[in-house]
Amino acid sequence: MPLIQVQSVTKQFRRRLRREGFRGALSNLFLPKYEAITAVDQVSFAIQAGEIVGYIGPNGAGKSTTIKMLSGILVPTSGAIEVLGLIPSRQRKQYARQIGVVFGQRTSLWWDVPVIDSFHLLRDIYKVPEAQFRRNLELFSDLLGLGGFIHVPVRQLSLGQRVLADIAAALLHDPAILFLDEPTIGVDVVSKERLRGFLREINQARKVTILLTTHDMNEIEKLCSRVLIIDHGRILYDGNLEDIRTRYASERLLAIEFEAAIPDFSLDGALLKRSQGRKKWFAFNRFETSVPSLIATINLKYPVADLTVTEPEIEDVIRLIYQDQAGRMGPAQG
Amino acid sequence: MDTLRIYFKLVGIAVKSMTQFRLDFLVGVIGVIAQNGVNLLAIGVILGRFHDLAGWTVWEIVFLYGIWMVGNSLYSLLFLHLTFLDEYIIEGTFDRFLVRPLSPFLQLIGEAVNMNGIADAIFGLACLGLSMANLGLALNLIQWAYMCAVLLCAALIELGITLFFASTAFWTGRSGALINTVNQVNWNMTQQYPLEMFGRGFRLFVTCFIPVAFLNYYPARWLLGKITPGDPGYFLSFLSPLVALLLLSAARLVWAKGLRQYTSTGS
Amino acid sequence: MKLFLSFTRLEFLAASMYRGEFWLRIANNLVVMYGAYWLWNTLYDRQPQIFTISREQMLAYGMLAMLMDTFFSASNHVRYYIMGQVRTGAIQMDLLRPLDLVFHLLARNSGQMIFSVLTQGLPGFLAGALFLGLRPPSNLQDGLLFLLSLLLAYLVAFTLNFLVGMVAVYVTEAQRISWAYYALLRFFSGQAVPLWFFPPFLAQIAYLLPFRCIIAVPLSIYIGQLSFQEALSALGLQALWAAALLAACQLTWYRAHTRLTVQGG
Repeated sequence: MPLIQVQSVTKQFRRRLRREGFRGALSNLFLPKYEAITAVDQVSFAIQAGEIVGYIGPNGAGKSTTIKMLSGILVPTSGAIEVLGLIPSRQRKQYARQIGVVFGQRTSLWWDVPVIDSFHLLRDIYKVPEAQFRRNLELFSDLLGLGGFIHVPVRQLSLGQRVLADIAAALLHDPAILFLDEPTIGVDVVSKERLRGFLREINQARKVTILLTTHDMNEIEKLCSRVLIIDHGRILYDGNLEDIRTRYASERLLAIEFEAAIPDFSLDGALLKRSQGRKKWFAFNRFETSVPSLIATINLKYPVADLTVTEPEIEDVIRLIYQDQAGRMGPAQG
Repeated sequence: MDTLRIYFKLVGIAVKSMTQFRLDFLVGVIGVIAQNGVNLLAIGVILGRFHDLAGWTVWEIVFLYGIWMVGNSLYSLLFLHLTFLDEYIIEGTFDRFLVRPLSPFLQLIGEAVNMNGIADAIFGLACLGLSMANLGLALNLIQWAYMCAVLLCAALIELGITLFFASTAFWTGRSGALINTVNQVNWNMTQQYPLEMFGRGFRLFVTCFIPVAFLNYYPARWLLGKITPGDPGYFLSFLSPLVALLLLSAARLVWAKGLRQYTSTGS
Repeated sequence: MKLFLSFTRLEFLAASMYRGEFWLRIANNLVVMYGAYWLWNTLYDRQPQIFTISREQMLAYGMLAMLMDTFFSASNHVRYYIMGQVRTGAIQMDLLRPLDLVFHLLARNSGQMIFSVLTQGLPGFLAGALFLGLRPPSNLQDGLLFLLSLLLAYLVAFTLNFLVGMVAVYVTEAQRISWAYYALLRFFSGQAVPLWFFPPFLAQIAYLLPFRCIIAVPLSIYIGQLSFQEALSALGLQALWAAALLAACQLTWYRAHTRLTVQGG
């Protein structure tokens, strides 16, 4: 029995059109026009207890909207959501006791008072038994290194510290599920690592189910076993991370800056993608071609001044997946 | 009961947040004195020339003002921030309320505390004290009790009005400007001018539609002995608690409806 | 000049983005004008002999005083802007730009002001004329002088707001001082009560302050209280204050500039 069940969920919004210019300004004033936006389109998936699932997609793909519906803040326009046997938006209070939510952009803590005060208040709001509270507090402080700043007002914390505090706050009441909406945007590397280690730990030790949205591929690789890719409101891919890696993220891009401008040339195991001035870009399959040998071959022919190897952007991966899916589904659906 | 306990804890945190800004409070006091002082000064100048305004003398008007101020200061202290519901929604603070296992309304009213309300209260009490002394006004026990009740009701009536109009933010995304407009009949009008001064339409409006006349005017009229049991409209003097109750109920309905609307169309 | 106009246009367009506020402001204006109407009507009934002017003139003064306040409040944006910039530290940007802040803000505020006049001032005036018996000036001369006076009044209002905004550079919580300023303005400008009703002591203070240039002076011209000579000298007074305050603004900005670059805001 899946813990989280999302069935054909669609979410549509109405947005006012803003028009330009003087005349547009006046018509804004008297005759507003609206456009319909479909943020989430017929999305379906099921998550089992104990999974860590990554929910990835470019900006504006519908990730935040999905999380809001899952946490009970928004009601779907159509479709059904059932989590822990409850309907999030209907049985809100009961539901809220069993989930934890962390929004990356905003804190759930009280801004001007020390972190510990927020924790105490949350303990009261969620009715956490004292012993359990103390136990969690100690454990989290340890794992996340909160001790250094637990008495500091949230206002004065760095972004990384604030996110760690937010995570701890979200778990004080031992929820069964944790929703994270872009938690590590703009966060320093050390805090990111702490966060990931912490998430892994509570997932293993306490079987907390985690759904994490991000548009950072790295994050997914380090934490998740399963990935949902969303773009333009639709689920493009739902499956194993390994599969994505082997099937779609095998391409790498080698950018080389030569010491002098040279004519274009072809290479074994790599495809020339772009050429500009002294720079050339080559695409290659990282499982089939070894980078050192590639560079050595190039350097033998023409002296290399500088080079970089980059992974494809998530947009490229998605594009590949999209093309693949479209081809697979055939002309009838596309 | 439990909800009340949580409310006090929320407010406690809000207060703690505020006391970080002590200088702010002091300067706030200056602002309050300046604003209200100017209002009273203007009245003073007018009445200096005209002796009375629609049958109300200077100190009677100060009394009227004082009652309004004290009631309003209580509202200002605890509930003023509801005016900015639109900001809470835009900034995502409101979503935070929805994720917790607690009534969002409770969280909203416990979210902030406006310490300037205290300065307002002091000023209002001073107005009351001075005017009562100058008028030689002696109230019996019932009158004292009613006056205290009225001060509380005043805060609740203003809360009702604000909540009612703030809830429109769920539909339109804005609330602050609307509330300020609605309150224009309050500030600088019924706040300091007796209703006798205005036309019948206005009197009807502030009695039946935006019932701010119950904040200070009707009770003050009775407390000052300006109306006797035989006069028409005598009963209006005692309706403040009822008005508060009705208004809050109506506001709560709008709020509930707005909340449902928000969760289905919020962005 | 072109730069000036492009800023003006920008702010005008920005202001037009807020639809709901348009109707709300009109409602706002109507309510306050109504209040003024009833106040002075009632008072005129009581003791008409105290007034040296006719009922229509008094009502016009009372209502317009309210209306002008609401449309001058557009110049409050200047105050808010400066205070906001200081609070967020963005004032640094203003330091870096090769632009005189006074000029810059005057240009932008003019846009807001024009917008305000069109969407608040005019409708408010029309509403007052339709529902509350508001009359235009009795002759063309008064009307033209009034418009000129209005322009000068705006300059005075703008410069005063600028100076109050500058206080934010030196004091952290300038918000409340800003409110205190606004309260004083409402009193000494003759908005709440016409200056000629003031007791001698207060009247003397009022005549020394620039605030009356914003409301009392233009309205005196409007209702025809001043002869041509008197009107001209009143305009002169406004111009004098406007010039003096503009100089003060420049000076203050210069010194604030220095302080900000040395202390880092």
